[in-house]
This record gives sequence, C-alpha cells and structure tokens, in this order.
Amino acid sequence: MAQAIVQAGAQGYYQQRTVEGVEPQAIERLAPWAQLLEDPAFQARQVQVLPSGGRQGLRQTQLAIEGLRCGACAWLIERVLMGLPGMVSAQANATTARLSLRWDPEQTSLRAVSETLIRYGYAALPLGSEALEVSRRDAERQASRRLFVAGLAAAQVMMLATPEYVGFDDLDPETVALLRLASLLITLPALLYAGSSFYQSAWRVLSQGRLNMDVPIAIGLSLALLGSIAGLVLSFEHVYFDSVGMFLFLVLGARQIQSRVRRRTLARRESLSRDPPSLAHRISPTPGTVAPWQLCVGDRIRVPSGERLPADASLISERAELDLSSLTGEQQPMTHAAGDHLPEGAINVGADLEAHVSSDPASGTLTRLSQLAEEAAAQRPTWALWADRIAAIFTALLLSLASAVLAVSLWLGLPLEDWLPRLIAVLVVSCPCALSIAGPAAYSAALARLLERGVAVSTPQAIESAWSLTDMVFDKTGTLTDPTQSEVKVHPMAAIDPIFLWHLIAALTDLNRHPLSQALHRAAHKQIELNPTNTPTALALTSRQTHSALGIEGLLSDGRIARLGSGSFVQAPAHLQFNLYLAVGTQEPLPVVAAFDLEDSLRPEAPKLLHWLRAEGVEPHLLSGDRQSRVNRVGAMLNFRTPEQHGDMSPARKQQWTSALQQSGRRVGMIGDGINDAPVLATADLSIAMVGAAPLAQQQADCYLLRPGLSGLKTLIDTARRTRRILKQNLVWSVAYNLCAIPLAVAGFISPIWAAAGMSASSLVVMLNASRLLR
Amino acid sequence: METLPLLIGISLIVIGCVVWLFFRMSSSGQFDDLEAPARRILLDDDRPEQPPPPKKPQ
Repeated sequence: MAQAIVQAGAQGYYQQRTVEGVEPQAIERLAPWAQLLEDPAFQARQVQVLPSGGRQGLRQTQLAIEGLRCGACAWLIERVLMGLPGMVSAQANATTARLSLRWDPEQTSLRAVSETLIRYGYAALPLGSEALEVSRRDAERQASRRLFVAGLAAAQVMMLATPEYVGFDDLDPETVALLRLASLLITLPALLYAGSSFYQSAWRVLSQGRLNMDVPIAIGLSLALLGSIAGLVLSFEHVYFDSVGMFLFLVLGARQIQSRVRRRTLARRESLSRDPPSLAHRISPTPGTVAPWQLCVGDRIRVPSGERLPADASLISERAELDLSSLTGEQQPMTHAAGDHLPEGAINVGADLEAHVSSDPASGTLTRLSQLAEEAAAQRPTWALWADRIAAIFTALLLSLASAVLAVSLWLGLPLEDWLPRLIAVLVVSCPCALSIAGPAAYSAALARLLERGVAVSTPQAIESAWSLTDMVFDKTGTLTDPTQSEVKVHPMAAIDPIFLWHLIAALTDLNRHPLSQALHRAAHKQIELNPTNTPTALALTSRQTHSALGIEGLLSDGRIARLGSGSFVQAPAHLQFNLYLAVGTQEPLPVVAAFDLEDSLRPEAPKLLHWLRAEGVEPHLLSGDRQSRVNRVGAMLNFRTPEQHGDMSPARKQQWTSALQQSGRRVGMIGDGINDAPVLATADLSIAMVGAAPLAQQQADCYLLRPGLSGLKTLIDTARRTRRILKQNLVWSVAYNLCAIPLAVAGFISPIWAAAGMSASSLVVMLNASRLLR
Repeated sequence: METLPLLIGISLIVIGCVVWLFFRMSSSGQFDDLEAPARRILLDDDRPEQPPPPKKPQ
C-alpha cells in the first residue's frame, strides 16, 4: 500500500497524516466491499442523475468512507480519485467521513472508485438513512451558527460599550442612549436566536418541576437583559448588554467544544473496531451483496456459516445454530427451529441458513445496542449531576437572596436607581459559571487528551470511575502477556501427518478470537506456507462449536471428531502439563494426537506499569483462567503477592470474585481483551478493553485502548486524577469567588458593570484552568 | 456627534450582512469540515525536489 501511495506521488501524505495508516491485511479484508456499490437498489435510491446541462448525464452520490480519519486521508482520497478518468469532482470530509462524488458514467464507474479506495486501505460504503444524515448535519450547522451569532454580538456590543467604560467626560445623555439602543438592537435578536436552546431546556425542566443548570443561565440572561432595558429607559448609570453577549458566547463555546470531542471519540471508536461491518447476502427480491442497512423487511437473506446476522430475522431453514455471546454473553451456541426469531449480531456457527428480515435493520438489536452506547456517551457524569444539584440549590438560594434584597429595599423605601443595580449585580456576579462551564470544559479537555494519547472513553462517567479506583484486575493472557509473541511448541503424541495436523488446527481456530487460538492459527498458517501442498481432502469441517474457556470441537466430514482445548476438555492424561491438546478420533475418549506449549511472553511495559500503580495506591490483581502454576510464574515476574493472583478462574468465578471485592467497599477496574471476560467487564466499576478486543467488549467497555499494549492505562488513570484535581480547584475557586463577591454586591460596593467583568473573569479562570488538561 | 447615528445604522447593516453571509456559507457546507481543507493547502503544494506530477494510479 505504501508503494501505491508513493507511486501516486503522494509522499506528502506520510509527512502530514496524523493517525496510523491501515494495516496491509486490511486491503484483503476490504475486498468484498467493492461489490456493495453495484447493488441495483442502492443505484436506484442514492445515485442521482444530474440534469443534463453542458455535459450529458453526470452521476452524483454521497458515500461513507471507512477508514477516513484525518485531513491527510481526505486529501489522499480526493487526489487518487481525481486521477480516475471521467471523475468530475471528489470531495472528502474528514470530520464526517463522507465523500461526495460527481462522475461521468461513460468513462468510470463506482466499481472503479471502490477498487481504487480499497487499494489505499479505505472502503466506500452506501450511506444509511438519508434523513438521519441530513438531520445530524443540520444540527451541527445550527450549533456553529448560534456560536457565531453570539460571538459577533458579544464583540459588537463590547465595542459599543467601550465609550461608557472608558468614561469619556463629554458623553451627553443622548449619545449614551443611542449607544445603548444600538446595543439592545444587537443583543435582543442574538439572545433570541443563540440563547433559544437554554430557554427551551430551562422551560422543559421547569415544566417537569425540576431545576437544571440551564435555568440559572436563562434567568441570568433574562435579568441582565431586562435590567439593561430598564437602564436604557430610566437612564441608569450602567447597562449590561455586553455581559449578555459575552456570557452567551462563553457557554455556547464550551458546549460546542464538548460535543465536537464526543463526536470524534465515537467516530474514532467505530472506525477502529477491527472488522468492517458485516455484509448481507440478499436472495430476493433482487439477489446481491448489500450493506446491512440497505435490507428491507421481508427480504430473504442467506447467512453463510461463520458470518454474523445482518438484521433481525425469522428463520426459514429447518434448523440453525447461533452463537449469541456477543449479545448476551452466553457462550453456549443456541439451537433454533424454523420460524424462530434470530437477533441481529448473532453468529451462525452451524450450516448456512436462510431467513426473512423481520425488522428494519435501523431498529435491529445491535443497532439498538450501539445507540445505547451513543446515549451513554451523551449522559452527564455523576459529578456533573451533583454540580447540577448544587447549582439548583445555589439558584434557589440566590433567587431568595435577590428577593430579600428587593423586599428590604422596598421596605426601607430606597429609590429604584439605588436598589435595581444592586439586585442585578447580585444576580450577575454570582452566575454559577464555574459550575456550568468548568465541569463540561474539564471533561471535554480530558476526553480530548485521552483520545490524542490513544484511549477512547465512551462516557465522561468513566473518568470519574478511573480517578476513584482502588483495585485493578488484570487478565493474564492477552493483557499482561502478549499472545501474539508467544511461541508455539508442538509435541506429537501419536503418529499424525504434520500437514494434516496444521490444516486441521487452521480450520478449527479460524475466526476464533481467543488469543491462544489466534497464536495457533498464526503458527499453523506459517507451517502451511512453509510446506505448500494440496489441502487434504478429509479436512472439510462440517460443524464447529466453541466451548467457553474450554476449547473448540469440530466434526470432520469423514465422521471423526476433533477437539482442541485444555486438558480437561480433551480428557488428556493427568500427568501431562501442556497448554493445549488436540484429540482426533471417532470413539470417546478421543485419542490425544498432539500437545502444544505456548510460552507466555510478558508485555515489556507491564512491570513498570504495575510498579507505578502500586505507588499510586491502586492494588493490582491477576485473575486468569489459566493453570495456577503458569499464573504463579507470570505473577512472580511482576511481583504479585500470593493473595493477588488467582488461576483456574472460570468467567463466572472471576465475576463473583470481583463483586465480592466491590462489596467490601473497593472500587474495582477490570482490563481485558473481552474473551471470556465479558461478564467481569460488565461487573467492574470501570471496564477497559484492550486493542483488538471482541467487538462487544469494545462496545460495552467504558474505555477502549486504541494502541497495542498497556500504556494507555497509565494515561487514563493519570488524566482522570488530573481532571479531578482541576475540577476541585475550579469548585474551590467558584465558591471562594462567590463568598467574596455576593456580600460585596449586596452591600452595593460592586456596580453591575464590575459584576459582569468579575463574572467573565471568573469563567475565564476556570476555562483556562480546564484547558491545562490539554497540555 | 451627528455622524454617530449614521455610523451606528451602517454598522447594524454591516452586522446583518455578515450574519447573512455566514449563514449562506454555513448552508453551502463550508464549515462542515474544519480539518481537511487546512491540510489540503499544505499538501497540494508540489515541492520542487519531488518527482514530477503524480502518476495516475491504474
């Protein structure tokens, strides 16, 4: 691929790109995607024929690009596509990973586009629902328009307010009134347009009888505006139009940054999940290979053995065996009969099956799961909820205080011009900005920092969990050790053709995600490549079953059964001490034909990381399904004490152990690759999935390490603790500021203009403090 | 000071124009991607020491 890029004269790509490129194997994996764009239904629905202007019948469409992650990718894609004859325009959007194309169908085709992109490691996919795309785009555009309007209004009004600030002596009352009137003319429409989201949100919670952060913001904005209008009409000494615009701009800006970071985090997670989304094989109404989201209810589909169901469906075939582990965590395959409902995302582990699509893929099980993940990411963390509650109480107190000031002033019979500025000063100076701006700003800065350093965090809540961890549970295989580096040693136990042996291993371990099985698969492929011969004919597996934490069982077409797995699974003689055994035969007990030794190799960064964790007061634990003796060996290399390391743990026991620890008041984190770990990951307070973890683990885990190795864990905990420090500092600052400012405002020592300045300065302080996280 | 009302009136009109312009640019999708265009300008500059114009991929 690198060669292809250099040939295209695009060396600049390597100098400019900001994320790692696509693995070479990706090209091979992506190849089947080329046919997606040829689906007639897609062509009919989403490819537009341009009205014949100067040139006849140009075509135009929008595609989603898998793998498009940065500006350099976008540039590369545009450049290579414009190299195709007949391409009129190609525009790639790095933020949304979308490609707009316009081409001449006489000279080029979508097929050529797709194949070109695949050569560079990208895949072009049809878009999902167009309405959804449009609504998302419009929401983003509206947010940026609101921010722009608020910023422009703030700057303009600040300019109009300058003469009054500077205090030119020769300002006559008419000029002042004119400047104030102009400020009102700018501020009012800006507030109505840019601030409408606050008013809507505040109205929504108020009508439900609750208070949130948008209520004080809305009240503060309204009072500052009304007070300024009163000041304009009654010619007070000061008005506060400039504070309205500035405050609006700061709050909208903080929110915009936060939503941008969240979107990027989600997009990055999606694009980094290891497999491209599965293909669907449609039989009727029109046969073809399509993207899952293009299926319609009632379509007849075929799901080959080993593939994922692209949509919820009802079974047509007589019998089907499904692996639901990615949906329910249940590892045993389930058998279904004709007419049964099959959930999207289940893997067909039996023979090929046919089914009718029973629900719109957009509402399928897995889609709903990803939506849940997206909703979770939009949730506010406990700290923010707590801050909301504090702000609600604070708002209530503030409103009572303001009413008290009003009542006392009226009782004393003070003139309007004396108490109104005081009232406004109290409300403006104490606006709970530190709570409403600083929290989200600190969280977004932390998320951005983590993403930049290779840790995708799905919910801000995870940051909170990470700073309060007291215990960290490690899985051994694939987490502390790197199974891709483990060396496979074969010990033949019976006469067996080595070529047959390796082909059998390759077939049994194919598509299995367990690291040991992946190591074996790699070793087998290496051997097969070294000894290229014809595949033995007896090697078609007619069925295959995976038994959680035990092994894999396959039925050969000649009636023999093959089992690959732990000693207890293949009933190996007890005195043997190997990792895995292979037994092949027709009669139980199956004779063991070979044994495998896989040497654990420690990840190089593991000892340092554990040392650091202990120093930071996080106690590490090692839970593994592997034999105690091997666990002890790895534990010894990493200075684990005996009560901290446990071997022979089934997934269920790991879960029990973790919840027992939690019940004793500890906050437990779990890091694993999601294989046999799913229940524990779900139990832990903070779940972290390693790079290349099982797809569901990636989706369900709170954090997902984007780079191989464990170093992301240190980054995560470190950043989380810094975030906590900064949140605390901001809180202390805002409390101290309010304690000083409110009494002064009540006493009348602070004029509203200084109150607004103080409020802005206070917000700026907390924003700047939060931005320290980005460094 | 007689010029002040006039100047303020002009500035209001200018603000209106700026907002209208920004909304139009936003509708045309100019702000949908804030990253790629910034890099495009860096990347498209053909440096003299590099081989002549890119070969078209087959």
